[in-house]
Amino acid sequence: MKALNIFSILFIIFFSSCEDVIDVDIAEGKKTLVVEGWLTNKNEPHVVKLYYTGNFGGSVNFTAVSNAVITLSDNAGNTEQLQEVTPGKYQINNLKSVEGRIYTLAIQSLAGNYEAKAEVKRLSMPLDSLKFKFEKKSTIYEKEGFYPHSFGQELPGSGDYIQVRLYKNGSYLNKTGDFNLFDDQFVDGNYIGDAEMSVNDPFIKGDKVRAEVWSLTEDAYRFWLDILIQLQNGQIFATPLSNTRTNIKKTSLNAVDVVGYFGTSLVQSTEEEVK
Amino acid sequence: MKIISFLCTLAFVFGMAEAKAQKKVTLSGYLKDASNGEVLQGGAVAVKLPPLKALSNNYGFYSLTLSPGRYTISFSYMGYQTEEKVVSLTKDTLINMNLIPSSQIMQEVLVTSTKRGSENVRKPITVTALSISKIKELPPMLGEADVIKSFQLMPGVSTVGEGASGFNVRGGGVDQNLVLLDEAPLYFTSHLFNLFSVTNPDAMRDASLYKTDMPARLGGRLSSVLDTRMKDGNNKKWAATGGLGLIASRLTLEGPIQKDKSSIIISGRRSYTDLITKQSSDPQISDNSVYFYDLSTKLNFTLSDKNRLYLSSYFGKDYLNIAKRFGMQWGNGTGTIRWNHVFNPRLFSNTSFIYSDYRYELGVLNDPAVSFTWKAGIIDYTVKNSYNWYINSKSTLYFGVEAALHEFSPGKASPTTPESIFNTVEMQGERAADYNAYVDHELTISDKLSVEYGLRYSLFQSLAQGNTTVYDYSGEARAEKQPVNPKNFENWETIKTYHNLQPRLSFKYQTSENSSVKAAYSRTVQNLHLISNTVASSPLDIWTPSSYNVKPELADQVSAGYFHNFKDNLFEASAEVYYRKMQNSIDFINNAQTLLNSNLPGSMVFGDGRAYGAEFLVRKNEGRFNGWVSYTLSRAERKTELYKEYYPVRHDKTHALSLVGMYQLKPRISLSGTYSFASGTPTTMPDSKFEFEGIPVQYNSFDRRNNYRIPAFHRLDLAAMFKSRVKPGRKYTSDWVVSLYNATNRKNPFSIYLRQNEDNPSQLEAVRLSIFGTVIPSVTWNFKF
Repeated sequence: MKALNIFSILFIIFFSSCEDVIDVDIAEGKKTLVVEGWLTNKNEPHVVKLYYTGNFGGSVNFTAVSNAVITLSDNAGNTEQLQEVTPGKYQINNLKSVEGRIYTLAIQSLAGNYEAKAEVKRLSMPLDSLKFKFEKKSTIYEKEGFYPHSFGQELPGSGDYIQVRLYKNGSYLNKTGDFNLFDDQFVDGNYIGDAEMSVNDPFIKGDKVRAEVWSLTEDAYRFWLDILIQLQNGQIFATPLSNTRTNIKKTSLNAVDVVGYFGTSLVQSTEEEVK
Repeated sequence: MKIISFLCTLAFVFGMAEAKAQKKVTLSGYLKDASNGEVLQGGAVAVKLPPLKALSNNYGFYSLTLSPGRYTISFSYMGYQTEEKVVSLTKDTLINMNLIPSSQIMQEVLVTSTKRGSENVRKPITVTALSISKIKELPPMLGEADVIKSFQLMPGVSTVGEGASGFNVRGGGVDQNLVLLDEAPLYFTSHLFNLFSVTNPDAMRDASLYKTDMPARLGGRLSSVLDTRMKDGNNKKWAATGGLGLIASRLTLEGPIQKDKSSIIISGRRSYTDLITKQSSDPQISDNSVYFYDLSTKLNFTLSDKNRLYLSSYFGKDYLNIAKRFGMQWGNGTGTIRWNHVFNPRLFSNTSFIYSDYRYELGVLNDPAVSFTWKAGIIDYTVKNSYNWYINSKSTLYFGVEAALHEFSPGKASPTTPESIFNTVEMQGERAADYNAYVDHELTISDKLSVEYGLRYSLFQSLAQGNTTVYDYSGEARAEKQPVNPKNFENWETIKTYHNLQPRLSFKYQTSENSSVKAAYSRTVQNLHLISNTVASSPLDIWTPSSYNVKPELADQVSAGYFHNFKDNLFEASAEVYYRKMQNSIDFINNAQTLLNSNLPGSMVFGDGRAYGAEFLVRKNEGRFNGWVSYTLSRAERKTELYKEYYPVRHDKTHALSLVGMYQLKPRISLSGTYSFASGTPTTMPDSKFEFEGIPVQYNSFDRRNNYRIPAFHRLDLAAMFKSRVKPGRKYTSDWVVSLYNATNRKNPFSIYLRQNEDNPSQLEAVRLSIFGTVIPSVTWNFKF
């Protein structure tokens, strides 16, 4: 809730409310399998990662889960077995996402057997341009610099969800402030002109910025939203910490618990240099 | 309205019959402050032999029925000089008594000796009362005395943390307290990010908190009723009081319209936080504007000895403008018309017409592409008709009826410019009719035993506001459930009706002249629910009625206590224990969208709560050094469809200790201090993590809520008040109040949470949030003409 975040900012300004980094000591939880994977129509190999959760403090070398048999199939009769390229990293060599198809990821591993299903949704708002606007430092803009604005037609028909991923000079922006998740509840069928996107650190002149629009199912959208809420959820109007949802289901008895997501998207990309 | 006139007639007939049947006479009238004509609530009118006593009600009216004879009658009220009068009673007699404040007689005398009350020991129901003058002596936060924060120093009353709006009573949520201002409900009780309570202490006469074991004449919420009453205004002479603080100022004007008969009071406050931010050279501050104001007005007219009329209103608003782009405002508005009628010396009635409105609005202002406004609110229209029937000196019957219509606007978002990307979205409004009737009997059975028992009946109807479709919801417990089985209702059609009986019983057994044992059982019902899943409730939270999918919340409580006064009531001590069970508590699925969600019931989960604890209080009410110590040991827990084992709620505090002291150093210098300690509240922390595309994701592998306690809370506040010398002939007095909030400069944690490390985005770091990270000094100048 952006309005509530603004409250928090004001709190800090007026009443010197402050945040200090501290150490907390919590016993490590039970080992849980993580599945991370996303299939798109991009012309690059996609991977599915299997590993166990780790302690939340410090840097962690997650324990990979090797020697799993992972099969990806779609509802048009295509199927492919993934190839383990490095420990716990399984590559999809042939299949790409196609609009309307439903994909099934089946995992057989030492942790147990699992399955995930994901549908490829239409890309409801392809970007036709990307512009940048310079903003001075203020309450709303914590940092001075160029902020991206997107332009594009949202397709009529509600129930569309997208994520816009930003890349600066080729590297993926994945900080707390870089999340751009949109649903069309309030904007269905409108031309979205000049809508500012959020970035953790604004751009400077000469940055090459790529914006990728990813189509999402409602569930995948909410998965990303779960992550975003976790990352931005600390102040006075925080909600209780919630685990992210997952679309991975256990298919064998005694399979260890599982988290993570296997998603499918269509991706469209636009690139622009900040001038 | 038929039922009201029926009750009137019934009461009238009973009253008459009663008066004729016995050869007793009734002494009645009003107790008032001689200096300004304000009514005195809870003042005692007593005869020595036989030892009988009556207390004045909320409007200062008392009624004492005696056998004909000659009596010495004493009229007393704490802080006022006791008046004695010898009266020969042969028939019903009216005595309106004006009591003189003791401070006026004994100017600059340190120790006042006035009659002290012993109601805490004598009455079956314990009311937590703090006088407004006492509240004003406590160290103020930024120079503003605060009613709600003062009550948080009493046992059983707490808050989830500094900066959080509202208060928690005996483990209940902030929405389980009914805050009344001249009988009108206030739906959001804080100004300026919860710095101040919305009620202006300068305009207030009394504040009483009924904690859980409330009499049948009160209801509407599960945990408490905070009944605040506005001053009537000085009907003797014109007077002005006010104060200049660092961030806000106050001014109150009051005076007679017709001397001794009618008066008016107008009291306003405004913060100049917007002027302060404008002065800053840092655009990050100067671009923002934030302020609040409130205005309380009251008129009262004594139409005759039997009829009085009161008109009161309150209007408060907070404005917020961020970087000239984002705007927001919220506020309460209330209006009350009350008519007191004395049918006969033993039958007093009050009829109230009440309007209450809470609304907020926010939007993006100067950005055409994304402009919008979003409005939401709640409006209440209420009629109440209540009777106090003083049957005899040992028996008082309270009865009455109440009817209210609630209109809910859960939210409408619309674009303000044609270029805006947003469509108009409006949530279906809700409407409810709320009828209550009660009978409440206060009875002295013997010298030792007295009871107050009663029954409150509530009939609550969810009505359609416009053509409305309601749904059943089906699906997995953890996910948002989907609407199925639509049912259509036309405007005003009844969607669902709930009946609830609320029995209340309190009794007291006098174990000695100065001590008693009390026990109580109460059931309370709540039909208005705050939709909030955040730590602190925000002004954007909406209220929703019991409806097709939301059942009334119920609470049952048993409590017992021992009360002992020492040294002629100079010291009050009490120890109480309670156990409460709550049903149909509302919670939400994880990451529920609570605002602008047309399928909100699909995100709700329901559960049960329980709370238990022990509360201790030792209080010295007067003297050069006075104050109190309160300690609460408690636990508040909940379980729901999602979390099937009881877990502590977010505002659970195991230990809470408050020390409050006021010391008259010199005749014109007084010091005060408060120290609070509380155990840390629980919060939910992860026990492991994973990474998704390089982003750290927190994971709570056992999925336990509130599995971690944040560190304990300590705070010391200090204040000194310097009064001006009283010079003969000078018409005004003034004082300076200097205060230090959080004098030990402690960084008290409000919460602890994890965030992404800026330099190392795949890692998490733990953060402690302190709302007030420093000592906050303030100076206020108060004046009185």
